[in-house]
Amino acid sequence: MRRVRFSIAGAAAGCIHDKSVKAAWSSSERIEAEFERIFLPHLDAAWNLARLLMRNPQDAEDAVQEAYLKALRSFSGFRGESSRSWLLAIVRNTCFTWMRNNRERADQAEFREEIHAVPAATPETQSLSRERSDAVTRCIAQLPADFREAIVLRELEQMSYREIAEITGVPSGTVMSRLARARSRLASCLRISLGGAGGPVDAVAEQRS
Amino acid sequence: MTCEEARSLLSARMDGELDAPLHAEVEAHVKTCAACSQSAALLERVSMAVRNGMSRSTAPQHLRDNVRFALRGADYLERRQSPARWKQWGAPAAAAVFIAALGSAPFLVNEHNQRQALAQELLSAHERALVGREVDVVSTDRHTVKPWFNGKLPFSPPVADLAAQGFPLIGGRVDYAGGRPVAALVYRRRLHRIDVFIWPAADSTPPARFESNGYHEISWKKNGFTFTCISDLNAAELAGFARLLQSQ
Repeated sequence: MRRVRFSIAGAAAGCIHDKSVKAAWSSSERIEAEFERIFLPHLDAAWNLARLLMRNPQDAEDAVQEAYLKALRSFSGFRGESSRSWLLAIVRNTCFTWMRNNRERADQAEFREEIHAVPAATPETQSLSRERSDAVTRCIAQLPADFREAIVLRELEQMSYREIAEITGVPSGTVMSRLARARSRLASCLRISLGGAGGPVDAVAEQRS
Repeated sequence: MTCEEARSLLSARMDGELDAPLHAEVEAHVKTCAACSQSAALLERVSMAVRNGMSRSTAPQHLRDNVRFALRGADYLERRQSPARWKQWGAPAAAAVFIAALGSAPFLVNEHNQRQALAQELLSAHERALVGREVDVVSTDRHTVKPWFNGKLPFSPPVADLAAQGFPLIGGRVDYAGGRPVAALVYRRRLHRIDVFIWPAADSTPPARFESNGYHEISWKKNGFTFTCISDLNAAELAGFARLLQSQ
């Protein structure tokens, strides 16, 4: 059964396909290599989506790992479309399944700041940018999960509404309204978090990271 | 266009996602309406703030390793089955690598030794169970086996039912390896027994892969646990079993 799967995967990935069993077996190595070549470069995108969705690094790591295994198993269904979108769809589905199955735990989960630590801040900018960046992270973490993923895919991955719609499995119109509502919530949250109007949001906006 | 209509479209306007006629309509409204113009400006600032404040982080190295580990886990054995490639380079290459490792990174060697030792311990546990007590709880029902571990281990190991795939569950026992109690699940394939050792991944690095006296061993980490399966089953079937477990 495994051999058959790899044979199909081999054909799908455009590998030279020999019908003999031996060739199918050795091609499994090529399939794995091909899979890694295509999908490992998207690991950072997968990780960022998972950690912002799950809000807990351990769960995010498990989800990413599980998503990669799922992706490998479904590799024969990959038709050479955008590999990033294809993988991110599996990642978000894995995350949402987990959150559905662990709703209680997810709701109670304390939001952990350390997972959102700013990675490459220089010492001079660190203290200044840290507070603002923390406020943004906090406000994003408070959004409902489907708003959160729309914001992450749009602002971090800079995807079009169509791409976001494909990944999240909803119409583009829904993506549009989710983003609009998410941004309006973020606007009020950032105002409150950063203490009043007339600058704080601007301050974050003007900050260059 | 009313203010309400315009405001619902400001976010899509900013993203350049409105079609041309609608975009023109919203533009015309924003130009003449101070309130909507302000809202549009605020949205731009929020978007900018989010882009700057939402840090893109690099996936942790251990996650990268774990993903590779999981992807290759089952096929690792298969690859090692064909030693022709490295054999022709022979011992000199291996020696060079070994010396380089010794010189530059003793900790790697140390970790390697630890993993070897753990692998050996697990094999001993497997062999011990073959001649002695195979299982402490005899059941083909995972809903019996899983709760049996309650109170006997400081964690609750995942127990998968793979009977439909030709790997019926036989039972489980508590074993010891690496100085800690580990869960041992016992599956069967024809006349071969497969032990699956499970313990929390945070406790240690996974054991080294090895083949010894006709036994194969394969390890991976998933959902916070380290899994090691050991059997005298042929490498390819054990690899298939490992992949089944990984997909649970």
